[in-house]
Amino acid sequence: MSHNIINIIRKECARFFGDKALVFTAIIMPGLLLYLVYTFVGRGLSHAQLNEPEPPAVVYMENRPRELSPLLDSLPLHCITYGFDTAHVLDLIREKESGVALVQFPPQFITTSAPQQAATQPPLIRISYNPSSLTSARSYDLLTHTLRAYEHSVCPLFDIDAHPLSSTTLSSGDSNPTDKVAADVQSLLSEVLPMLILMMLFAGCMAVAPTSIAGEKERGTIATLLVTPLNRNELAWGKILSLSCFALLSGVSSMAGIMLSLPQLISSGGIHISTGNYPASHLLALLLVVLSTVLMLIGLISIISALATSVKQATSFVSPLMFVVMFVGLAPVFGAHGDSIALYLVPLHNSVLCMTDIFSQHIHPGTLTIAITINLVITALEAWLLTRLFNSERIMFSH
Amino acid sequence: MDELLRVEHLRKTFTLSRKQQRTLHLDSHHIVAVNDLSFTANRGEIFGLLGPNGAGKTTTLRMLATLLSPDSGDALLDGCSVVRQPEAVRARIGFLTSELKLEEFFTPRYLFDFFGRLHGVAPADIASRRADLFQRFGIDRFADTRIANLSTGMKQKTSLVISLVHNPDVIVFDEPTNGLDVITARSVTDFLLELRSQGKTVILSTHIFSLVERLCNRVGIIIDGSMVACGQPDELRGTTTLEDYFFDLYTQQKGATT
Repeated sequence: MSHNIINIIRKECARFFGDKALVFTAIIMPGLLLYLVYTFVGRGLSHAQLNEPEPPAVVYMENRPRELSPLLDSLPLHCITYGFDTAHVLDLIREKESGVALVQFPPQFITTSAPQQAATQPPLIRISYNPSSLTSARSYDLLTHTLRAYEHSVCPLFDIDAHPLSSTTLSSGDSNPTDKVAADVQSLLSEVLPMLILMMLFAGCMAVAPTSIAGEKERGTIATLLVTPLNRNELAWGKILSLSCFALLSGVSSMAGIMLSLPQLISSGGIHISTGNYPASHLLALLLVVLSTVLMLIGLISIISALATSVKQATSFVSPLMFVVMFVGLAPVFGAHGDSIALYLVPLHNSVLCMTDIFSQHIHPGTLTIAITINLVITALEAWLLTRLFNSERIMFSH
Repeated sequence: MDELLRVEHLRKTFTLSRKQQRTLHLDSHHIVAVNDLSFTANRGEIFGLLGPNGAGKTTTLRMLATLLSPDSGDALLDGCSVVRQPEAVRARIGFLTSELKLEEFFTPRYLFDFFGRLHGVAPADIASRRADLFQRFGIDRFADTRIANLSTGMKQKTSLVISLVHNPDVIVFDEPTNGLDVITARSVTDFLLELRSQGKTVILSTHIFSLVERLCNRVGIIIDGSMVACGQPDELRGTTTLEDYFFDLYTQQKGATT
């Protein structure tokens, strides 16, 4: 790296870190604010739940086999095994009666003759529940995982057919409740976190780039730099690299605020998670994706800021991009996944796809490399364009 | 004489917006700011560009500082072309204009060192030059005060010493005494004379006749972007004053063009 790029980075760092108000508003405040808001919301929800203890779900069980009785009776459910009318119970569920579920075992349900049953169609257990009732839905979760765990312990002898009398479907492949919760959290993180990260990074970039580029232009200080032997390319790279560091710090602060408050926020919904269960390689991959994304975003905002004549104008030019970033960030929520490698060539969207892969623990080194390379190539192009703008007297000296 | 600067047929036009066209009552989309301007400056000489507002003085100096590119023509500064070797030119000149500002967040000491490093000056040389120039202009007492908190005169003096951090051979000053009180203005003009005695070449633009008569070895008079006269002030004015000489020229030119 040339000594002039280092000089520019040093000067930008002195300017940024020397201004306590700027450090507070750009780095400390976003994270602190997000942490306080999310923690406050999470605690409020938890408090509301503690004040209203839920009664156990009433689960009607038809043809319950004797060998399953001890297991099912140990669950925190109010089990009724006789003296009810199945059609009436189904009506109750359809009418959204809170906290009711029905489990229908087939007649002569046998769990001990594995070889014979495995060769034929396994028997079906039907569970009907009301997904709009939290108690009913939880009883379904509990029964499904308990029965699946039992099934796996004795051999694949029977199948479970869920009948949500609304819209929820039975998830498959989870062997116990802990895995199910982890999968839910992983799915939630992989869909929501990319958007949150992208938004935070963009906000960080917006906080630092217009002030540094359009601000210097507006104040006339960039012209003082332009009459030195400093190469415009060095100026562009010095600005992009230093501003990326500040934006990254701002993004990290916001992410720290979210990550620290997320467990409390999610636990208010009855799920307890730890966000520290990603391997170091995934965190390194995330860091590389985030860094390359920040470089690209800073390059873009720097170009827009160079075209603007004031910080105010630059901010108004950049603001609409926030909606684009939000839209791209929401892609996984709407079901857009990286099924095609071509999608990893699309800037910004590729970052979202990579983050989704990382959070869902389905990381692909190939697509990750493609996305990071694309981002870096675009950053280089942006630096080239920014250099051209710094060289343009019409752009630099227009007021 | 050792020629250090050669300006050859510089021309610069600017594109006008429709609003500017209406304001200036012009039919053309373009305005000629500098038209076929040529002159030379020698080592150890102060060359003045004298002209009214809008004559093209600042545009000429900006082209010499490589902030603007000429449409045609060139200027060779110690053999380096402003068109083809802008970085080499910038390394050889000190440029001062009121439009170049210093970041108000920093102190004179920080900015002097920063610009010294950008010019590739050795740290020891930066320190000795800073001590010398700061002491000479009375900046040493405010070396660690933020630019934002300095008086206008002190800011101007700080800009001046920073433009000279690399001890350039050619110094280009645009209206160097504008906005300064008489004491500060005097210290600046005395310093320009001292630079000349050190063998430096100073190009300055001004519309103050007394400044030209006191400082300049030679002067070029620019009206509407063209050099209408160039020579030693004494020779040009003859028996009259420089001010009268200038007004005669101005009347002839404007009369001829209208």
